[in-house]
Amino acid sequence: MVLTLFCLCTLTFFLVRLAPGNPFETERHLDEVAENALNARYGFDRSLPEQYFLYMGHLLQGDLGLSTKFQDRSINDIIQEHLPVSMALGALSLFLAIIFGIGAGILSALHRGRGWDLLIMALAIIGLSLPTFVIGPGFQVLFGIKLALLPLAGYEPGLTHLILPASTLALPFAARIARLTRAGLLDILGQNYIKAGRSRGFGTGRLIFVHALKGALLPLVSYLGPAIAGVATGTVVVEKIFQIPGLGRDFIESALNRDPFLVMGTALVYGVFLVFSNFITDLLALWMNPRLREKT
Amino acid sequence: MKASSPLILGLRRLFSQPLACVSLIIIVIVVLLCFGASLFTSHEPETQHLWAGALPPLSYQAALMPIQEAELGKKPKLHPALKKFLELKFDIQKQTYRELRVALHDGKIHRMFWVEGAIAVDHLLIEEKDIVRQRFREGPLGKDLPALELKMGTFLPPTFGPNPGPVIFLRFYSAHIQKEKVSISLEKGLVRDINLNGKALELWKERAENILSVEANGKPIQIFHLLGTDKLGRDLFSRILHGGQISLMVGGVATLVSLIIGLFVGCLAAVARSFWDRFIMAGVDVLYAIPFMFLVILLLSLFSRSLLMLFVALGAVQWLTMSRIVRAQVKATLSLPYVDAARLGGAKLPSLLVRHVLPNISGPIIIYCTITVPAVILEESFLAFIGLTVQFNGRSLDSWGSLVHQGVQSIGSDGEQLWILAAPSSAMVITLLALNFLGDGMRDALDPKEDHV
Repeated sequence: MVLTLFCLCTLTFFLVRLAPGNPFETERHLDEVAENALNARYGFDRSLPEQYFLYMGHLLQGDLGLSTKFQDRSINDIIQEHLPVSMALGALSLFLAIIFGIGAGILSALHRGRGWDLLIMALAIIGLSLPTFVIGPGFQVLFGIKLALLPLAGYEPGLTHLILPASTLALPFAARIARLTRAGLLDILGQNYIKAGRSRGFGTGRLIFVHALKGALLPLVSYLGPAIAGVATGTVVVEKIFQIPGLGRDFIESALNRDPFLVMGTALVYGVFLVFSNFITDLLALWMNPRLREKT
Repeated sequence: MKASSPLILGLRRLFSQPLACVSLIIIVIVVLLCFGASLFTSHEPETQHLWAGALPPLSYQAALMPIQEAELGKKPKLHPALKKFLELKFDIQKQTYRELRVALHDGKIHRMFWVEGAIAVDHLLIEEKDIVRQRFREGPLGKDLPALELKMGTFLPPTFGPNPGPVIFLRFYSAHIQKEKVSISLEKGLVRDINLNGKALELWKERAENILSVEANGKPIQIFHLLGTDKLGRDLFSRILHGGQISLMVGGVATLVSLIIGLFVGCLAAVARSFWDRFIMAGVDVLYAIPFMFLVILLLSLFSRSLLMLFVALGAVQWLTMSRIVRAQVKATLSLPYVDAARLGGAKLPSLLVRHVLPNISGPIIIYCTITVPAVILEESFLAFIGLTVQFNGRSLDSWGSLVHQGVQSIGSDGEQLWILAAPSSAMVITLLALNFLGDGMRDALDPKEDHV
């Protein structure tokens, strides 16, 4: 894992530093003295390997450098301010996706082939096909303008500003989770031990929640890793649609503005987060599925 | 019963599913519409008609150019659509108007003055009989306004919506309407005769917004916008078709790229010795762990945004799953008795793969391809939406994603110009839904296993 993180840092550093373009390029031409001073301040006057070692050294001390765009702020500051917003958004949408996905999946497995099942599966395939950036504005128009129930965009601490963006982000994942839960549950419900339970007179609720669900959720756990990555990517778009000052917006804007240390910083935060979440979902899968443990 | 190949059987099963058939028909229609765009619409996707911005769907516009101009003996400055005709007749309706500028401060009226002559007013009563239209700062005339009263220091009446902006322009049309008929005849591309209300003229100039209708060689000419226009007056239908070309092309080519890489790597891993097989698949596993979308965003925003880059970037994400599927399928097929028979018959490895193994595993590969196409289209529009459109010859090519983005930017605070968002979104959603349903249908038809996720 340390190796992965090291590769990630190195890759982003060279990608960003080797890209064409200059962070101080503006419409006004900078005079040479000012440009030299700026270059010296950010260490761009040194050779590339020197810059690399300097950056890695600072990184080990937890220092991500200075922003070239917002000249009085350090990257640590910006990330500290914006990361919690993105985390709250991502966590809420993941929570919504899991709750609604599993609920819909159970409902649809219990009503296999009948009204509820068809309705939920139709909704699920629509949810999978609708891109976030179509759902988002759709929600904005419906709930923000026509019904005027929830704030249109922007962010203030609290749930009201997060409900629309989080449900926008959650929808495709809820759809996928519902399909996975349904398939897993149908698979398990056909097995003998469930039949045995039923013949002993266990109620449907007990059968589902106590006996079937744990086995049915196994494929879901292995989907959790990609889902978390997807949610992280999705925050980028959702933050743009709903004008939320989160890390995703920083990432896009800094990449377009050529703000090298901010790009590296945000990319690293995302990278570290994803590597960790993959690691944790792997552990979770091992814990839930003893068969995997025997193999490794 | 006649013997059929699994592919034929599968296709027969596919066509027995109504949903898959409908999807297939929709996809064919969308592809034909997009790639035959010039047959279905005469509008250029990039031509702006600023004076006809944000027209709702199914609307006509007669105004063809900001200013029509004709001078005796010279080439006329007319809309290109009019140049091939010899007799042109314009119906013109002019209304004199005055324009009032209202500046707001904290929602209250701060200053009002007539634009012409900059004469300040502090109280104005607009009665029912006056025709008043709100003009947006950069754009067309808005709706007619009812009777209202404007007074310095008071709040703006609610007719203007919740947040009308710091400055409002109002146009007051007088009840006096002036009508004119102009006919122009041309000879060899030069103006021979200009006639205004029966009098001969030497020079004629008219603003587009005053032109009611145009007749050329006795036939009325009107420009029809099936899906309306966007804020800059570009025909939305044409833009959607041309944007669809980009989206579909990216979807197809990136899938092809991923197919080629995936086939190559998958076959290589399947036939290699166990060490190399494990080595290759471990590499694939490692690549899986990298958050690729971020890498693609970095690559596209930092380096060039050419089509090639996009294909490489998107294809590079998609080939991983393809190579896994190909490897598993090839491995399973290689152990079948008929492959052994072919090998005993002297078939070499490449021909064994191409002639005996690949045709047999084409089912799963086709299924995965149909799933990949919408995924890639979705990814490309995701990138276009966040502003990473493809650049070609120095201008950016709009795909569905960027059209949706422009739609989002122009809905406004009261959702009045919804069609600019709704039209490209629905085009995209219909296409993606059809592709997904087709993929589902293909899987049911071609995959012998019954239970699917």
